Amino acid sequence: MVLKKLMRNPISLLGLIILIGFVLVAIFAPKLAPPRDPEQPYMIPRYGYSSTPKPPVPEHPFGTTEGQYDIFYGIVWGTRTAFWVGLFVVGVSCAIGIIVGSIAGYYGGKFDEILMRIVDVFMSFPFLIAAVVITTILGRGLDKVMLAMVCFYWMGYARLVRGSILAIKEEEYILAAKACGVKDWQIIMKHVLPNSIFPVLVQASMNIGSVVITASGLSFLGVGAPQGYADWGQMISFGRNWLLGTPENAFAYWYTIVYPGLAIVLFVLAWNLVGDAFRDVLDPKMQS
Amino acid sequence: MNEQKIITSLDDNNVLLSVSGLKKYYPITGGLFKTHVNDVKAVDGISFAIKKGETLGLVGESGCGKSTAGRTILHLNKPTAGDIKFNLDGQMVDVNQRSIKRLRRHMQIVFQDPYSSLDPRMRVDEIIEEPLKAYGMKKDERKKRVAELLEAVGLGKSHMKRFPHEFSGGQRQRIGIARALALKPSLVICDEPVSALDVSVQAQVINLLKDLQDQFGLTYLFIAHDLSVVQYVSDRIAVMYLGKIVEIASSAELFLEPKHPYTEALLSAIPLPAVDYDREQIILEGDVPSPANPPSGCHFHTRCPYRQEICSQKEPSLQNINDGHQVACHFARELSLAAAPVISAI
Ligand SMILES: Nc1ncnc2c1ncn2[C@@H]1O[C@H](COP(=O)(O)OP(=O)(O)O)[C@@H](O)[C@H]1O
Ligand SMILES: [Mg+2]
Repeated sequence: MVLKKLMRNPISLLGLIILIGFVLVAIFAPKLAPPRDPEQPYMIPRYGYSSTPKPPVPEHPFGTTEGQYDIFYGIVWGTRTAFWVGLFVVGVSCAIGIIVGSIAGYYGGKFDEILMRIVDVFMSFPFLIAAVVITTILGRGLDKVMLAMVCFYWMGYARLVRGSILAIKEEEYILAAKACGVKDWQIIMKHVLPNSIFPVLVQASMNIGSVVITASGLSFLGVGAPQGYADWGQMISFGRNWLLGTPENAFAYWYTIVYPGLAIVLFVLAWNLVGDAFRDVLDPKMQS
Repeated sequence: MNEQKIITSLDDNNVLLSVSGLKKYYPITGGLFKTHVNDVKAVDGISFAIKKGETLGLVGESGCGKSTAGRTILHLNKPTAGDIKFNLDGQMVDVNQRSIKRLRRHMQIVFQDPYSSLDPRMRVDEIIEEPLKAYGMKKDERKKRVAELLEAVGLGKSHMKRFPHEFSGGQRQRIGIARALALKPSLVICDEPVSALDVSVQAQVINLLKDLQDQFGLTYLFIAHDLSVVQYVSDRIAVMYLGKIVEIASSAELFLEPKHPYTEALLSAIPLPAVDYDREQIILEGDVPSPANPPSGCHFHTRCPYRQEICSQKEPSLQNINDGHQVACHFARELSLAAAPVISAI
């Protein structure tokens, strides 16, 4: 039923198709790009050590980038990385945000005061610098980047949830449930959360794209995935020295930037379109 | 105290709910450290009793604390002070944080805003069965009861699976009434149940409430912001001003012989159904003062056309004028006030 509604709008249908495409690529990665070393499928195979990228040939359909890493392989396995990073960071920070935000919003008073001051403290750190510091302390690695991002992403959700819970709390159906003897936690689960959480889920699905961009940015800065790890951001950072091509041909190395860039852009676009469609689907007024 | 005496003067066996000295203050905080600076005295020491099977109207301008009173009686707000007692099988039970769990099924509420009182994400049958679920009724029994309730409020089985937004205001209010009746309560607080509805629909919902009262032997606390609505349903009427009750009497007596200047003003504001023949409408001076800083003495003195010096100095207490007619006015016995125009014309 939800799908049917998604189908009705051609734009959201497009988003859904792109997203399904990415899901398929992620699932069938071992078939599309069989790893050389099955123990370490996320390490992009190298075909030489020359730094100059080589254009697409049948064995390397997207060419090879600086250091002769196979671009096609990197894109395919990078899809898994993107889903993993996006879903983990958004999932975990959303969960933390929902818990903190609902306690602050529903119980109010001292709880609210304390939790919101903690949020303010986290908010006051400049994210990029904090992320770089954290990864410097903990060491380079995708897991550390994700941890750093969760640390600085949950507050947004906490504020959003708190705000909408404060609004929902004033609704008379909450009082009605209370008057009927419904227990506090059941009121939260059945009335408060469904009515305040759906806007948050819409927001979250849209954030998955931007999380992947930020993670790519950190990889680009060299604090993310280890060298040679299948990650779109790293693919782009490989290509950055070749952006300008050669004096004769400015676009000589286009494939080093276009393929990973396209992957990121489409991924972000798909999540945004799907998030938009979510909004309509989750509105009870659009139902039946 | 005076108030205490008034309560016990009602025949205790017949009393379903008694409220004495009920207060609800909302703290106002301010400044950097959110210190307590003042209180909104939304309900400031009200006392009354409701007999089994009767309807007590509670009337006053908006903002005078009617909803707060209703909600505080049901412990949806924590009372600041005061006693609430409910007659459970012949025993007057103290309504407090602990006993309220047991008492909820006996005292229910119908809300003012039919748009805010139904969860937009729930279907009608889920809304009505919510209280049944909370009290652990089994699924097939719940289904039967929901169908029964829908029929009782004039809706059909076909409405069960719809969402609230598919209904008109009047229909939504019926759904809210069905939910309130689900647990077979004896007391229902109707908080301006028709104020948000079109005039044409108001009468239907009021008639429904009256029918349901006869059918199930309900007792109502019927809240309204003007006297024209409550006159059709109430046996007795309490008039509220700025968190206090200023007059209580039987409906007939209140309409024929009002003793408080504020009641007189409310009566004169009742719109007449037919031709507007010559009558004096009392327009009160000024606005309702803030319940955070109520006037000294009698709260009403700033707007009272009959005020004297004592009114701004001494607060009048609620006094028995004659049996069951109580007024809080220094001059209750001296003033001769105008009765309701409709009734005096008959
Ligand atoms: N939750 C609250 N917090 C602070 N003040 C409130 C709250 N609810 C009501 N009030 C104030 O209490 C007074 C009485 O409100 P209310 O009981 O809703 O009046 P009525 O139902 O008669 O219109 C108003 O001044 C209102 O602003
Ligand atoms: Mg009200």
